[in-house]
Amino acid sequence: MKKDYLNRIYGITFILIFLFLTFSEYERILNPVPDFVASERYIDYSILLYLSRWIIYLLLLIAGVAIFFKSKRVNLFLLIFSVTVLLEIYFNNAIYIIKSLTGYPKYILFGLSILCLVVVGFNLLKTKKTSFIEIFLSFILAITIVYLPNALITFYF
Amino acid sequence: MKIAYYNKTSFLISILFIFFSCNNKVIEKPEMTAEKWEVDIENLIKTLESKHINLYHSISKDEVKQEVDRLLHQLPKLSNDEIFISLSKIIRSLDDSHTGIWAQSEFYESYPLDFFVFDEAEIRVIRAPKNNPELLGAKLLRIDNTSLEDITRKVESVIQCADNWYSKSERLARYMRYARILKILGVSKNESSANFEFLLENGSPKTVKLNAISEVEYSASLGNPIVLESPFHFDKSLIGTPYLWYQTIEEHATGYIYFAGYPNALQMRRFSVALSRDIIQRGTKNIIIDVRDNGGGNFFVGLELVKLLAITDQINWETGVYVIAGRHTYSAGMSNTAHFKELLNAKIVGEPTGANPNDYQDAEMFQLENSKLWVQFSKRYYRFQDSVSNGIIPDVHIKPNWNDLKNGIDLNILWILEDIKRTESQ
Repeated sequence: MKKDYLNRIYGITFILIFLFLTFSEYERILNPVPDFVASERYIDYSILLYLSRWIIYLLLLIAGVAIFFKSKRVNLFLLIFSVTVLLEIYFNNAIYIIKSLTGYPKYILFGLSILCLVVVGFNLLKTKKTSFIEIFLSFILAITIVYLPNALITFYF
Repeated sequence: MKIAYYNKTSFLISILFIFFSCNNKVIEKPEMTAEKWEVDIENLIKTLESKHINLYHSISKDEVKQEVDRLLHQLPKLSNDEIFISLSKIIRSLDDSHTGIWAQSEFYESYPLDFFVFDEAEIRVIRAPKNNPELLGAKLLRIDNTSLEDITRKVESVIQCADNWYSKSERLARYMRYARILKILGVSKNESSANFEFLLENGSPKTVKLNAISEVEYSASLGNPIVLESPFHFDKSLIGTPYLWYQTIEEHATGYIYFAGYPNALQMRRFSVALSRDIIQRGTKNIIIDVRDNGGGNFFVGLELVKLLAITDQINWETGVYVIAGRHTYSAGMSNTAHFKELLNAKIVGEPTGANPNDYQDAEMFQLENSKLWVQFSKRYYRFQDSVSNGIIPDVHIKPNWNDLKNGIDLNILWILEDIKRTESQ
């Protein structure tokens, strides 16, 4: 019973963080100055630059919902989320001139991804509920998500 | 504020030096013999003949062969440095913008001076040694009693990869401080020190004995560079990295792109998307692209920037695009300047580019087996203009002068901002 409450609290926390990041993102990226009407091209360019970041937010939401409802695949979702965040941060620090993840969202996501990795690691050791295929799948998905905006930019232009 | 572009080294040469420095750690200095030199020289000519697109475009094969034979004949009598300088002269005689030969970095011991060639008779110190700040702005008169005319004539015979007066002047200013080159050419009497005679700014002559230092110590031995006043500076940039960044000034709806080097194509695409997005958001109408420090790279990467800018409608495509070029603008930097002019209807401001628009380009390198000298050669011929000219001739030619430079006035930026104001008021 106590475990259920804890799951709900963790799940809601993840969802609240998702909502906070999404709203602040909307203000910062799509509505940067009052009276600015984003043109179609402006929105396209924003998508091309920040798509991986928005997918990471979506993964955060999915992870939150999975925790909340105690999904059987919660470890998989947590793993996909944390590996994607860490890979995105690596790309930002080591490769990108134009960063896709900066400021406080980067630190919040980094903290959450480390937390998720610890939880997944613990589950893996304790309950053996995470399979090798899930780990492999997480890495493939993470690479795809992080590279997607770059592939789209190349395709688009 | 912007660091004076005059004292920045060209991208190409910097890369070569960094490359050599890295290699020094693993390459031991070879013990050269006349036989080993013979093998290297034959290999050099054979490789250039087989790989260069058109090696003898400016000089006949016979003339080069005569010089090579003469050198081979003299090998036992010459020192390694003398052989290298002789080879430099032979390669220089090919008169090719991307074909050159370089020694390992320790060869390039340097006097602590940074020169700028305003014209043949006006070569000034634009960065003085820390111990002799009074030399700032001084005109060079003689080195160890060798006249300025003789110095320039001799040094010009060994500079590598130059195309026209502007790139020659840029290379000349650099080669004139290399101690071993000055010694071998007979400009100075020994290779570790020389007496430099100057005419100071106050009109009085001054002779200073300077000691050669390693290329690694060079920058630290000099005083602060002249800083040009400009509203654009990397510290205020919105996006980018030190060699490629973007800034705006709201007052004149103007964006400034500092483009001194090339990232990979993906990076450039991301940069161009981010900058176009900012242009749309801020309603930027005028664009200044500064390629003064662009010594080259991959011009196809520069085309990514062109592509993204060209589809941004709100820019003033009739009069609002400016490119600042100069003597350091070389190789791909020149090619992209031509692209900006043709595809973006850009007005070129500044000096003609160091590289010619119709010339041999696209370099590849190899190392000679015994001497470990590095050789570069051209693989392609590019034509960016219908007419032949020495550099891309600017629409507004702004000649650098010492008075404005010493006062930190960036004449190019000043002219462009005035032109934008003029256009706005019409």
